[in-house]
Amino acid sequence: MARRKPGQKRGQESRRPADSVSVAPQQQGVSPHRFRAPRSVVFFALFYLYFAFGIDVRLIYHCGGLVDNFPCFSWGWGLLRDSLVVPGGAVEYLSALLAQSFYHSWLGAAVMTAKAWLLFACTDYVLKGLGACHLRGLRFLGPLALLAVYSQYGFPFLTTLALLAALLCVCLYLRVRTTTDARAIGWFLAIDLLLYVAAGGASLVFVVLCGVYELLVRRRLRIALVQLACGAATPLVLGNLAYGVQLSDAYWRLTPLSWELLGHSTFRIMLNAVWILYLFLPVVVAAVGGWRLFFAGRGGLASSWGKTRVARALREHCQGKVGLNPPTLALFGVTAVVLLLTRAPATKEVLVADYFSRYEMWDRLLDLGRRSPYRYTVCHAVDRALCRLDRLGDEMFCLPQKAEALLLTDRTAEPVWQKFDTCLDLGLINQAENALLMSTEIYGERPLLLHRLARVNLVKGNVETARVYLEALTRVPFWGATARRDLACLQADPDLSEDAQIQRWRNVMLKADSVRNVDVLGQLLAENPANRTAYQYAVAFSLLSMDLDGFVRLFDTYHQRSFSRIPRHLEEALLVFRTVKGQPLDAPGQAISSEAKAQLQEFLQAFQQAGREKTAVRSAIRDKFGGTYYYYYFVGR
Amino acid sequence: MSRRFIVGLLLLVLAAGVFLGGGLLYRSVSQAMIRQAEPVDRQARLRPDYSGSVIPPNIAPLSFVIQESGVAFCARISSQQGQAIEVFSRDGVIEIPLKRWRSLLAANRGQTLCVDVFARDKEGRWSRFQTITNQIAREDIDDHLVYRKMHLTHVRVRSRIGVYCRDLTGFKESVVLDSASYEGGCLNCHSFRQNHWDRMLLGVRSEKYGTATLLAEDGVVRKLGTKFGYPSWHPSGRLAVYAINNIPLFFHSTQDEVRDTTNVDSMLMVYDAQQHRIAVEPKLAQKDWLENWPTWSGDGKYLYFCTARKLWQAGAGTPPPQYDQIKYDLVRIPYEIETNTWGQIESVLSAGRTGKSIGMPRVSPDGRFLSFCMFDYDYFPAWKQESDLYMIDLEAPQQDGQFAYRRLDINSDQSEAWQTWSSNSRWLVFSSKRLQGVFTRLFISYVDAAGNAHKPILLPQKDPTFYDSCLLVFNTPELVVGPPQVAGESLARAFRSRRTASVAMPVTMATPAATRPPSAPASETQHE
Repeated sequence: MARRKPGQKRGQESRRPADSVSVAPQQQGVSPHRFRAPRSVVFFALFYLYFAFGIDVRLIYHCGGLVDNFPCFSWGWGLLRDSLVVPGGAVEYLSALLAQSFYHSWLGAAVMTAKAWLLFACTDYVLKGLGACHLRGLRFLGPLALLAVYSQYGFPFLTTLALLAALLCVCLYLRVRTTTDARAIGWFLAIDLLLYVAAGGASLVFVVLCGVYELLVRRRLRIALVQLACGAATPLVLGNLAYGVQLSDAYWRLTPLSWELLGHSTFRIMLNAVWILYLFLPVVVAAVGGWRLFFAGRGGLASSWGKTRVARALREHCQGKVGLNPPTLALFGVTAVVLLLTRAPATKEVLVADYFSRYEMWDRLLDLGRRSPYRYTVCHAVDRALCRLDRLGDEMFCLPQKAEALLLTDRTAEPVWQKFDTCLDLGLINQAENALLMSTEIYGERPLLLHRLARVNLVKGNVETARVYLEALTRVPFWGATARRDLACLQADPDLSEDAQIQRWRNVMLKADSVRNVDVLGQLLAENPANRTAYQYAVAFSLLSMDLDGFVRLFDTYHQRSFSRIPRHLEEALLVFRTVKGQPLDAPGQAISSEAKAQLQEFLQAFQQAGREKTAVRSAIRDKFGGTYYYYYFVGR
Repeated sequence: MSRRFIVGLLLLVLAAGVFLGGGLLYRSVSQAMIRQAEPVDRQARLRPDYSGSVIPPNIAPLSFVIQESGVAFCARISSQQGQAIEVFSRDGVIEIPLKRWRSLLAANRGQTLCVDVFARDKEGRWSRFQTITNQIAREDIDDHLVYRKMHLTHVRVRSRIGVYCRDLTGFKESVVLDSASYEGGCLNCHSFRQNHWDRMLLGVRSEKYGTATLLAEDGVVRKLGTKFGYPSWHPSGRLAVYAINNIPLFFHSTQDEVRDTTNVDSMLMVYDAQQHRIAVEPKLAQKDWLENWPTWSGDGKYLYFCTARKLWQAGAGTPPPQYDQIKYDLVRIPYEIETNTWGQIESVLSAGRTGKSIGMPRVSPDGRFLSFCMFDYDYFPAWKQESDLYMIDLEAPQQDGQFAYRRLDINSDQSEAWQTWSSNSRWLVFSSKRLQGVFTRLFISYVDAAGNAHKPILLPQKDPTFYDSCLLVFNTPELVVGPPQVAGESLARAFRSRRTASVAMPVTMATPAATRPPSAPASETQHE
């Protein structure tokens, strides 16, 4: 960075002419710098809104059975102490704390925007320090990379925070006076050591940037070599020898090469974008420095560029009006392309459906289900909503259905996250506990899981176990009040006789023990014929698997215990069964509505008229009969 | 120095003096008022319950929480000799200072430790509860305790698991080996020769680095390319006996403990540490029997182990049909180390006599007592709620040629397991779920010369509320003398190394099925 002349104020440092784009005299009294501020302000405002509402970062917090690397955090010295015993522990702790802001979309979006802005500002500072103001458009690369990754619901929060720490230290290094060798090396070492302790392997970015800067830009070879050598040795000395971590951890902790991070599928999403974040500044610094080193005159690039038509055109458009201009258009064009290429509406739907399901927002879940194509876990969540609203038998075939989605029986998938609430609804308490604990293995001790584990243990009467979960939950941000409330209820009423949900689960919970695969729905109903949830699921499963004999057995045995009327699809299924078996459409005590009978006749007529070709049949009758069991049974899924 | 600086410094000193003086004044006023406290006709409720126990004279402070209503509390800890310790608190948390505690205990071996608890109400009146007493034993406990600390697991082990070493005279806990040091996996089955570090075996599994046993001999670590299950060192340190098991995991649909496991197939193997070879003693590896839980007597003349006749054929499924009917006997076999000869298997205690299955036998180092677990069926007591600790006095006269056994008074209605003896045979450390259900904690119990186990104390922590929200389980405790000789990165490096110490394996196996690795992937099955 060029020195200020005596008498010059900050910001008025004289630049060597070649380092800056030559600017034509201010013709209309408007500085080009004024145009950049609104552009970035607008960009970050939209960035915030997109994170808050487009991505909706609380979905990442919620996890939804997809995000497997969201950090757990609890107040208290324990976590802090455990964090600080490894290099990078400070940033890891801070990252875990800041990530909790995702609990509220508005707060999490603010944190992400701040992070993106800091990346933007650091890049800007470094480029200015290089005298490469003509490359300042690259400032937006960091925020764009974050947009790309998070649009796909990746979660590289920790490694990008570590990178940010490294870039802030680079800016600090550029800021301080390093005119002499001793100062340069002294400052470098001091910052590097502290940065390594705080950010682990990400400090290598700082080392590389400083080394390359000294080597190629300031051309101080000795300093560069000392910095690179010391920086490369720091992880070995501090990490491996002092901290006692293995060599690979000493070098790569918190970086995209860390096994701890790569072991999580969510981290691996858009990993290339994370690498771009890590590498682009060192590459740019090396390129700029290399260009200056190998081409004549430091001003060669800038002055050559300044004379081109394009540069002149840009300068002309930058001046004068505030508003749309080529750089702005370019920025928003690139942003739009990034968003178009990386947005993941299907993933969002899965996350949203799960969120609605966990928090029992049934109507919104059903709206989502009606809008969405078939998705395994979304279908499961929608069926759960219908069951909870006692509408499974009336509306399930109005929505895309597959048998394996009802009870998550697809053996190629293992959605333990989606299972536990359904198991609780049914009364399969141990299975719920199993799914919950497996979920903690995969996703960490997420507060939702801890809360459910507390509830499960309360159902089983394990009060002290539940208390441990609740006490742990009191230390989790945003969950303390819920946990304290539950503890107070437990204190006042240890048997939880006033807790309707606990009492309900106790009433329906399975009693007979088994260690083998059994017909759990049958067992639940045999123990408790009034278990409406089990009945609905059992009937639904029979219909989905087209086991009409099984359906009729269930219906004859249990229906009247749970329902005073016959839901629409059950009427349809009864009619289909009796039609197929050649039985009268009405049975004693089971009168079918005339509308259902009429609809069956209409359907059969239309089905026959449509002919044998299945595709033609589907399209012919889907509109009118697509939401009926007749269509499902005769035409298929 | 400028005048302003001096004045500022003086003001600071004055403020500190006022603060300190105020505190001392408050303290002395409180002490005076405490002496006039109204007596309460019962003992105060403490958490953890450190009352009526026998405590080691070298144990860390037994800090506790006073669970009584009040706005201020005081605990006065005293004994016959030395100055009493008074701790004041506003929230009932009593953290006892380490140095003063150590001095008090050291000066009062064999004496009674008294704890007087006071509580002040809103009106400023102090109440004094009945004195709580504990007995300070004369005998030290081994100064270090090695245990495994991990999250509750069901099938997968992706979260961290580690073996830690705790200094029992204080609160320092160091890492022996942590799964993060080899990129995740499993740790289990650590075993020491007679409570000493000079011989240690530690089983490790990892998807990336495979399955191995780390052998530490006098500070030198070697990696053996095979897994030793539940190993037990001969007192000489020249050999170890270990189990090879096939122990799949399965789940109950309604039992309180969801998890269960069964020993589908197993045998015992002998590892000769001097010749670096593994041998099979046919009596310890019978095809139709399931041998497990080896443990040596203190003099090395007997190997005790549990055995049961196999009730199923190979490939019987998981779990096998009669898994809940299998009950293990406790037997022993004489061994002469100089001639490397094994005697005949003798019955110690049969399941037929007790009606229960026997597991985890451990002999006290002085050879006098044999402790073990009994539970309804199969081999793994940690997951059996009914599992209790029992004892046989091996020197007591045998009635009808049979050893007499008795249930220890230190049991609860939850699972007790994993007991380990101190080197002086006076202390027993075991795991128990009595406090918080699935969250296993460690307890210390004094065993007197007559074999009576006294009321246990919970392993103390610096923060007495530590266990209230601790989601980790503590298991497989082993008392050891002295700090670790090898730990941390030295062990991890050995495990990550491709260099494996060659071990000569026997040509034939008695039970081939037992030599195959467990059906689940290496890192996916974990038993607490």
